[in-house]
Amino acid sequence: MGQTVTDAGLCGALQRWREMGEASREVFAALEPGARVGLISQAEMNQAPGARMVVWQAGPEGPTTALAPFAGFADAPADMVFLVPDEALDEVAAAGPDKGLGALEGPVRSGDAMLFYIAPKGDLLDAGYEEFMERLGFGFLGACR
Amino acid sequence: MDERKAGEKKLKHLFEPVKWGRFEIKNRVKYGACCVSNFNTRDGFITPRELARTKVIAETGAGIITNQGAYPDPLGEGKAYFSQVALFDDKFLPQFETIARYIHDNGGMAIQQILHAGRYGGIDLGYCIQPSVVPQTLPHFRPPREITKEQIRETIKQHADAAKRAIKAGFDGTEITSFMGYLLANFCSPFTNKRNDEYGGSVENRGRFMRELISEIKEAQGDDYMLVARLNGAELMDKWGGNSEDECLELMKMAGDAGIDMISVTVGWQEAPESSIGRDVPPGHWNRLAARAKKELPNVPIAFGVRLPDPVMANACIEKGDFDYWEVCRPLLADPQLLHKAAEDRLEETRRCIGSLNCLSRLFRDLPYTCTMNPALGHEVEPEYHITPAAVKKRIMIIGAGPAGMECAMAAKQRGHEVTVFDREDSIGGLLRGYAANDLANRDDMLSVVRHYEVMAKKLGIEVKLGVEVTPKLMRDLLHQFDVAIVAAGARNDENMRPKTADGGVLTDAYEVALGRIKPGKKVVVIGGGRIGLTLAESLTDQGHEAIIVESSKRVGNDVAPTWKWRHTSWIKELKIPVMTSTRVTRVTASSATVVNAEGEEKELAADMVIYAAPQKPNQEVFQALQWMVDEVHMIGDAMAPRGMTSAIHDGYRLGCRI
Repeated sequence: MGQTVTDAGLCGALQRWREMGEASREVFAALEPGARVGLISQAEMNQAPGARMVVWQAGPEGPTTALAPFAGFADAPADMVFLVPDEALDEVAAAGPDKGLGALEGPVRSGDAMLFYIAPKGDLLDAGYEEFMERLGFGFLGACR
Repeated sequence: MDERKAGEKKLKHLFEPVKWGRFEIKNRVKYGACCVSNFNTRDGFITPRELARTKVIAETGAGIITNQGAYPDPLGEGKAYFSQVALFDDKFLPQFETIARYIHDNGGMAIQQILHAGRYGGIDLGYCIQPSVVPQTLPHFRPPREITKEQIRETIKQHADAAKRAIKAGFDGTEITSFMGYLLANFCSPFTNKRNDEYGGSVENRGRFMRELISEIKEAQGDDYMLVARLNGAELMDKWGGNSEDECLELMKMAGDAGIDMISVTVGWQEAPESSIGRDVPPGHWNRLAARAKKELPNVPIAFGVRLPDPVMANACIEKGDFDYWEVCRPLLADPQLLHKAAEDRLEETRRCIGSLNCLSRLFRDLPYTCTMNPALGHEVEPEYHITPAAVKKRIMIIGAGPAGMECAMAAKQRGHEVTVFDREDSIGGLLRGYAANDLANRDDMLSVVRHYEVMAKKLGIEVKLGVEVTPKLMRDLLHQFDVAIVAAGARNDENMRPKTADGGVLTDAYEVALGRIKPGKKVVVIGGGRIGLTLAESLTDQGHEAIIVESSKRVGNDVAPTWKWRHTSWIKELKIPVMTSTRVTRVTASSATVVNAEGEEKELAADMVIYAAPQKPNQEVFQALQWMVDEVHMIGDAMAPRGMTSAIHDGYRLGCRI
């Protein structure tokens, strides 16, 4: 049996997250170049200020995937961040790279993963996040229930 | 002699006078400040629009009236809504004095809520303050900054000063609130409080801000005045590291020990991942949280009303000892006469809150709140929205007994007009009946709207002619019998959008299936992913049919209210309904539907029924047929422009008030 994402850790599975970004080209096409979406696991976040997060950055040739230092949410190097508990990381990765970021929809809907907006609403709108979120299957303004 | 009214005897626990401290309360109903109106000036002054609205609230008959939350700080870090009222300076006092007087004039006890929104505040500032930097999960709110200890002390003082000011304005007490995730909740909850100092960590430490707040406010306003705290019985944030129900209870006990005079038990945060107040939550669902609080804090008065819209149920809960006061807001927005109707045993006349959350949808768009069921809400200051005797009595025919037609009929009849409603169907309610029959959330909420029209048509003596289609021939027969014709016949299917049929293929109208007049097939293709198509596909799938939604635009739910879109997307996931977007149906046969996507790829879907629920268009043909036959002709509701129930109700009422 191969190494799981949990075994490898968030940062050790960069190739999987790169494939996931590649599979989400159409979703990232909604964003202005330079817009950044982050992914961090609970375990990695607990390492802050020495932690790292996965950052997908929108560009004209599609998204690029890299690791970036994470010292806390106040200075998070992304406009929005998915926070995934360690036990859900494998579920996300196992959904298959072709599912792209869509694999995060289930865990966010069930409340297992969280979606944090770091940039102000105006900046998010200007960068195309309303369309991005809709393409991912979320309502941009969310819900008051 | 017992001078109580019939309903007061029936609901004797709810209408029982009660003593609270030095105050004699006329009944056990507390009007809750659940919604900020957004009717006021951007710098926090109360407007005539707000005063007119508050006068209506004061006249609801509630024993305790809580005025909507005012932010306490001059910078506006506590300000959650664009046009929220402020109470950080004496310059705001005159209008608060007027509000306190309205409440007292109607025999109510006046409570002023002080609302520092914390995580949801700073609406004009570009940032919010909270115990720790935890980013927003809803993009409407501002990026966070951590509150310093010095700011904590200043914030507590601002609350105490605002409370003192409210008392000076004539209020009998004040209220602090953690409802929906405001600053108090942010300190109490480990989701947003990750501090390492004496304000964070243990429950004891997280509750320190609340204890200091209670202590300073009580000291500022004096022993003669009451202090209420709205505290979560459940945050619904525990999955994300928030408080458990046990911790919530521990915090309530802490408030009790700190000398709070009443606890109002609330449920959920704005961003909680599950419903607390929507109509998908059954009425009474959360009562257990109030009952538990009452059991654990027998000496602290408990108020409760989350998703508890029914006075009969509230009366039973008070009798059982689940809580002491029914805290009610949205049902009184929908029908400000609710308590009077209950007291007079006329509950069947109530306009029920259907939990559409139109009020909150608007606030999230920085708009003044409105109510689906109460078209006059927010327009109390405008005479054009009042039902006043008509200067000229007219004979009015209304074509269509749906929400638009019936609202217009009710308003016009009360103004003294002669009103006759025609509908080709054999019952009142129009297409709403079909929607209600298939709504997975709470069918009875929608059906209550239809029942309301049936009851009021009888009570007001509106003539309703069912099973009569208004045709040009009928109009020639009726010529000169009416001064006014109002077209409220609903929208029409857009025939230009219909796909071709071949080989015995038939397109079935969504409403024929929704109303149960045509038996649905086993494998169904639904054309159109708007609210009609979604609702029908969900209902059919729930009943065991296989449904596929085909939508020509990029997404489904384009005509669904923002606060309800998530509900449909969740149901689609839960029910595993396939959705094809950017796809058109081009051909329908007896056993299939051919679809083509945006790339031009064609596919054949097996289907023994294809249902047409695609976009609709205005119904101008009836208008055009009538305009040379009747003196005045008007159009309202979906017949004028398909927009759904809220607009239909509002259009109908508005025209009925003015004609």
